[in-house]
Amino acid sequence: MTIPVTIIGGYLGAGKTTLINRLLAERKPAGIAVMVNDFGAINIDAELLRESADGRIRSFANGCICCSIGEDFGAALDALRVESRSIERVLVEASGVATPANLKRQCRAPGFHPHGCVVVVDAEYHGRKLQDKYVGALLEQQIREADWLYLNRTEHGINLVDALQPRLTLDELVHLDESLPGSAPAKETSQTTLAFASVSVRQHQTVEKRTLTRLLSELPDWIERAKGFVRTPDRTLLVQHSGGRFDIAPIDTKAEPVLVFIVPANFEIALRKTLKGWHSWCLDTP
Amino acid sequence: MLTLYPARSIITMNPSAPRADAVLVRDGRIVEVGRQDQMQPWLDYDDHTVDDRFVDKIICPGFIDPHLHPSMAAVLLPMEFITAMRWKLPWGTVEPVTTTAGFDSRMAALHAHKPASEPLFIWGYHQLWHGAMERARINAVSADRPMVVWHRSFHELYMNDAALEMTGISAADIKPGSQIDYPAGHFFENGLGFAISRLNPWILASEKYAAGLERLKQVVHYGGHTTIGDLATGLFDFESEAGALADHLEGDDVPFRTRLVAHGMRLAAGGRSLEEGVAFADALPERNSHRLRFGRHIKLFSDGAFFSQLAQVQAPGYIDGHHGEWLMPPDMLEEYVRAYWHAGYQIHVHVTGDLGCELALDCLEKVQSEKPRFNHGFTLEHFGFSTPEQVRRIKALGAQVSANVYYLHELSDMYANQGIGYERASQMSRLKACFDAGINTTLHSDFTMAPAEPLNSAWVAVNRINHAGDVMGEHERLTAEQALQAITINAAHTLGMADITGSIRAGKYADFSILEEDPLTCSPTELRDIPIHATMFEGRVFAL
Repeated sequence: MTIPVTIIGGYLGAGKTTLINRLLAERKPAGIAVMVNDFGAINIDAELLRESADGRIRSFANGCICCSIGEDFGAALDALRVESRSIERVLVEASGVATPANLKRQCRAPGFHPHGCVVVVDAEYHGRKLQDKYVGALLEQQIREADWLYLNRTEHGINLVDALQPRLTLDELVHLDESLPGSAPAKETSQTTLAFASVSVRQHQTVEKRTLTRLLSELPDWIERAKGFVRTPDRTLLVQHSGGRFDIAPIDTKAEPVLVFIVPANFEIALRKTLKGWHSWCLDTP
Repeated sequence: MLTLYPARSIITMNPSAPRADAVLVRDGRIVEVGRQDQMQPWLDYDDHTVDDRFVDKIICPGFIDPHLHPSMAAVLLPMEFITAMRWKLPWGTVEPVTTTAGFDSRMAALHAHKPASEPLFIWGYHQLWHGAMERARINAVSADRPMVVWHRSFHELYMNDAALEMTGISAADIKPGSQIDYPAGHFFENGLGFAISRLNPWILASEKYAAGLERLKQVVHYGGHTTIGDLATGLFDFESEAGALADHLEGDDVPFRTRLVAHGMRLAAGGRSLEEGVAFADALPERNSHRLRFGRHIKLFSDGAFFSQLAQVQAPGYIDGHHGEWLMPPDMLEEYVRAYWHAGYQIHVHVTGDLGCELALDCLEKVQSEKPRFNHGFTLEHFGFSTPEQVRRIKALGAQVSANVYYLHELSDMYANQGIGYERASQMSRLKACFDAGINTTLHSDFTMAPAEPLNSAWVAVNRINHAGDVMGEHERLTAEQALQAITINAAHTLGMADITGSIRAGKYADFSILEEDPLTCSPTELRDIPIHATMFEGRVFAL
């Protein structure tokens, strides 16, 4: 029986430590070992019971075990295995520049197996960071290789990254469990350049709801995601299209009617062709 | 007591008086350098002896390698070398082995000559020259003696049956996808960490490590150095490394001094905040001894290993489309640069690709606008790929360059074909442009990434000949004079020691490399073959 290792990844400042602190606060920490880059940022509201000889592992009265990763993740896992027999689950706070597929390979140390990688995304800054010449490609890779996304700071506007993977709520994360959706096959993707393209279309005249429904139902299956607002003659609708399914719901908003489509980058031209059929209500041929 | 050393010629690296024929030394310091007949006032005033043992030699300032890693070298140097390139080591020159059969016969020879009781560690294997490696191939040499074949990049290794048995690694330990190919005895990337953890009793045993540091001491002396920079003190573990360095690199028998530059990421770890890390660094000079000196220097990191093609490069990137990696998140690098900049440090940033270089320069530009500093010494370490425009920025921002020019010799051919294409591969180590711009520019080995032989680094910089014999980037060739500056006075500036060493002038320490031939008048292609006769460190001769 090997111990599952759940990785909390994501770029610097995305909110990994905050998330780990919330998980520790909301779930009885017994049986959880948390591996962190640095002890300093973790709130353990409990007395320190003992510290291993090398200072690497600390056990707390509430049952939580904290382990600093240092330079060598494999060695840290080794140390953890030696230290305790009561561990049921390991949570790892990844470095901001680590990538999920690589991290999961490292979790195949004797006695452990990778459960999956949650990538924490700062919804407010993500769009800007994706354009950053230094970290854009890295963030794109982290998201592409993630098993689940956890969005932080979603109160600031619509964010479209949640289209790409099952998205977790804190509740689901708190009750981390082997049967979590998407945890089965480890994704092993090779590096490529930016894998997704987004295309926005603005609406210039209202459209009947049944026409909209027909257009949506005819969308090809390679469309990853569409989201936005569409005006009918009598109201505004929130449209969300994901995984071949779509939802349409009335919404009270003054936002500009725009639909954003996300497709694999190599389908961008095909998408633009498809959307030509929509031009009766689109402002421009996209 | 004065000692007068006449020489065939003295290259001072002081442009005000570039040549001399004698140097006068007292208490480890230079009293005067120049013409012997002009030194009479000193000789009339004080007792003196004339030591004419260098009368037919060339005296240069002691060579300086401003960036190597004693702790890493201590792990590697106890191993046997079988390499595609020539490595001159104090205990013998390792001649190049560039064929599969050659590698096998060298393995067999080592097996035949080494005491049967010891495991055999071999470093330097590379598939491009030595063919595919696997457990059975090592077993064919010996299945009974534990043998480990380490890749030149250090990122992978192979074990034979006996080595697997010695380390207790069995097939049951190996999980799918762990980057371990057990039948082949192959441990790579993340699998390497597992192998190293099992090999530690043999490679990090304290007596092994001590023997490794003693060998490092010999290597440094043999290269003609009198000063080196340890450019990441605390790479493995700060206190144990600092302790081992104090044990082995301090004392009357050590013919060089070491500038210790602490690993900035390690200082702010283990519960220490960045601010506490700076405070820790502030206190390090209190530990200084005569030869081992911390200063207001700190090491930070931008992009990944050059040998592993993990340098971050700007468009059009690598031919196969892969990306490099960041060693610190870019925002974290900026935060660290800011903290140490405002605390008045000289910051050394590991940069390998042109995107990594761009990031370091962006960080520097930001902090320059927050708090302008002059003569701050911000140094780009390694400097693999760059652009001409970056050279102008380096100059404008007052930064300097410390280059591992050996990349060009060993890798430019391979990187032209299997990395980033000929144009950029041939222009790695863009050093002439740096000299032309007036940037303080130095050469280093990053030992064991390159041989710790300053004259070999100078040879690469002057000739730009790769291992295949082709000249790569002829317009970036340095003159012999520039190359000699790079390994003496410019390196002293980079380490913040130009006031005490790096050139031969009155008042500096008597740190010399004593050569058989004149590096400024010999044929440029013979630079690396000039025999080093001896070194002098603070007035004391250390024969070679």
